[in-house]
Amino acid sequence: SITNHFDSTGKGVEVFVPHKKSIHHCHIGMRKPEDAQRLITSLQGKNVEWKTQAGGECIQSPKLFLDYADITHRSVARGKRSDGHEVERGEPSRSECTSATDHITVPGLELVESFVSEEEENVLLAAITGPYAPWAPSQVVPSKTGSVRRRVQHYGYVFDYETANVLRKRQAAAAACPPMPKIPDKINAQKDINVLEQHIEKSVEEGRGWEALAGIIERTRRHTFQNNLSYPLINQMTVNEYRKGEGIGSHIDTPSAFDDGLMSLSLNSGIVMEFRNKDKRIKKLVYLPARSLLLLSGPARYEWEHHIVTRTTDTHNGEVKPRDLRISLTLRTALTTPEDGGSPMIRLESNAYPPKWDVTHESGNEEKDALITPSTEKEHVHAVYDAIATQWHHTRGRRGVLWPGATQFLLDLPKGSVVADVGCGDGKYFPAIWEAGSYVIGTDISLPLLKTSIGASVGIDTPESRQVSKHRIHLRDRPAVAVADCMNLPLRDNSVDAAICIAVMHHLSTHERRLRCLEELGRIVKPGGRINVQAWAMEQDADSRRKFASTDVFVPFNAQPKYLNQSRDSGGLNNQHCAVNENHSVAEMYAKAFDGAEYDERKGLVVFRRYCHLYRQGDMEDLASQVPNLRLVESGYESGNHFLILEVL
Amino acid sequence: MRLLTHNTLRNSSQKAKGEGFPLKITATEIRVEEAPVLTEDEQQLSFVKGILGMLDWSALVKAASEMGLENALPPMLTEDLVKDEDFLRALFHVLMNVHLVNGILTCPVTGREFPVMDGIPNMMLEEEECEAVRI
Repeated sequence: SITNHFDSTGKGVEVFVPHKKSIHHCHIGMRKPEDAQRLITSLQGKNVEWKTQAGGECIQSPKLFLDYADITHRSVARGKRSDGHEVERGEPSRSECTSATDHITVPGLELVESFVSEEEENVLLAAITGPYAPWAPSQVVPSKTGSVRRRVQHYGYVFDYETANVLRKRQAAAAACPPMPKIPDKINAQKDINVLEQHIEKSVEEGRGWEALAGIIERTRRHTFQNNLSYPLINQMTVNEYRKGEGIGSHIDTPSAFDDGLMSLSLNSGIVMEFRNKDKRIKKLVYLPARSLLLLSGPARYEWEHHIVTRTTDTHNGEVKPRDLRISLTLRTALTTPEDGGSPMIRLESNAYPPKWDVTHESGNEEKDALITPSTEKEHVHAVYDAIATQWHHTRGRRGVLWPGATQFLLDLPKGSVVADVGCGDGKYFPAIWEAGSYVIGTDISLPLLKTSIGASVGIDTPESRQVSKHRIHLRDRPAVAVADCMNLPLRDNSVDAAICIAVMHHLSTHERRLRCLEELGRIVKPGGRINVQAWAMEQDADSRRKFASTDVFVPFNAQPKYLNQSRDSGGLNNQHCAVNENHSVAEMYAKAFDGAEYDERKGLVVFRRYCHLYRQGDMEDLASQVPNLRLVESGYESGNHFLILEVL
Repeated sequence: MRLLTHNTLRNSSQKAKGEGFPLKITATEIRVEEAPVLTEDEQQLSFVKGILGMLDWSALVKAASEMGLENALPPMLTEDLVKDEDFLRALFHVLMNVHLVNGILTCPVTGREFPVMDGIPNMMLEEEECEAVRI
């Protein structure tokens, strides 16, 4: 971040730290000589503190000594291709262009571009990085700059990075992992590839990421590579998450662990992989674009080491390509030990989705009681709303955008109705209910959010929907709210005339909990009374052209630290000790405390991930039809939401 | 928490078996706030008439006395009272203007206590108190 200040091109600055434990010097690659000169002039002789890209270590430097080296000539010379194409001047020389090794061939290496389509990629990513992704307990993966904590998933058999081998005895806790995703037997039985492809297409269309993944794995098994090579016995998959700038140390996959034929599918971002034949001291640089499948067979698999350099950009055919988050799916055939004959391990697969470990590593209770609050909701719904309550109220709440259908439902109620607003949040719909002459009792699981509903301040910029006439100010100052879980509403049977439940059902992560919510609404509303339920639709346009890639996703929320500070004081993060008042320290603290929250340093935001379950056309009606005392009056789509109006029988 | 709100609340724990109502009020801080009456008489009256049907009257009478309003309400709701506009105005006051700011709500069946702080009752139950999946 110190060097970014001097980068006039905005393409980013590369910092190369030698891979030794004690760091004496580093190279900084600027894209323009003027930028480098300015950096030297400003920092010469100063003390500076900075972090390495991937390792996150903090280096406190003594007085800096900076020397300028014009390295662009060298990179131009090496980057020149036989067709005379010149590499862009000013590229750091460490980020060698792949064209420098165009003349080298690695026998057995094959790259299949566009192995998956963009739609397939989206759906796969939604599953693999979504709420049900079976991340393994944090792995320490060796890389050139030391070891790195990387998120990995294993299917079929666990690959252990420390021993660089497959864990074959699956009874041991460390060897537990989900089975390989499997396609339906009747699809698999058909040899016609079109049957498989149609199944994949349908899975993608319906946002069934795990089924699509199973289909893609089968597509890989059936693919014929050059020289008639194919690998139908793939029985192991490792998913690696490479954050920007991360690499992996140089290695050959343990020959006794995996058979010939290793495949790697790159998703979301391309990357340059380096191959080195140690005997002949030859190097080959290969750019792996997103959605491509890499095959390593024969010499490429057994005689050439491969690795990914730790840096934030790659240079391919003269073009500098910045790296983004890359997810790699490595597909391999795990073998029994040489003593046992070294034949392929039995394929362990299942079509139970989302994939689960054989041994539940959560408390057994979650299996028995489907209504218990899942950790996904605790971490990615409850805790997040508690933390963002103030910002939520200031931005969305205050903006006062009410869904027209929901508002009309409230205006249509007879005067003097008692309405339950389940999951009322900051009380956005309260004024509409009061102005209609009715009384609202709001419940929500988040106390910080509820508190923002009290005495909602009124100013010149208060939107009309949040304004309350003067004889109802007493209601606004003391709204009727209670902290409660929609799974167990603290209201008597038949105690209210109507109920609304807006933007709640998409935060419930199991079928049983969604059903329970509807049952509770049906219980508290008197017979003849009506209920309005609204939740996010998978189809985001009325004509379904824009869709979420899966039914269960993480939706980001960009939280500003200034609001987080306030939430903290009102109970957002009670147990954290924070001595510093600076915004970015607050942001970092929150990012560390929340699973999956990211700290966007440049924007100074904490990006929380909220768990959301999205409803497809017909899903909500199906759910309601399973509650005997509810009758469907109307259903529809409004502004990215599906809604139901139900009557209690 | 107003008396109107209290009238709907119950302990929903499994042990209470749906009978955790009415919750006994132990008040440590009460505030009586006057809602403006002047121009809004019509609206207040129609509001009170509208909600009459939803009220559990005996629970309301008991709660009112626990909030310090002894004998503020008659023990039974009669036809005559419903037509009496003065009565309805007084009822509006009892339902809407008497606030429990701090205190405790206690389940009559199990004794389970729910705190009320700054007017907000916390009705959250522990997982063990909740009804398990109906098999």
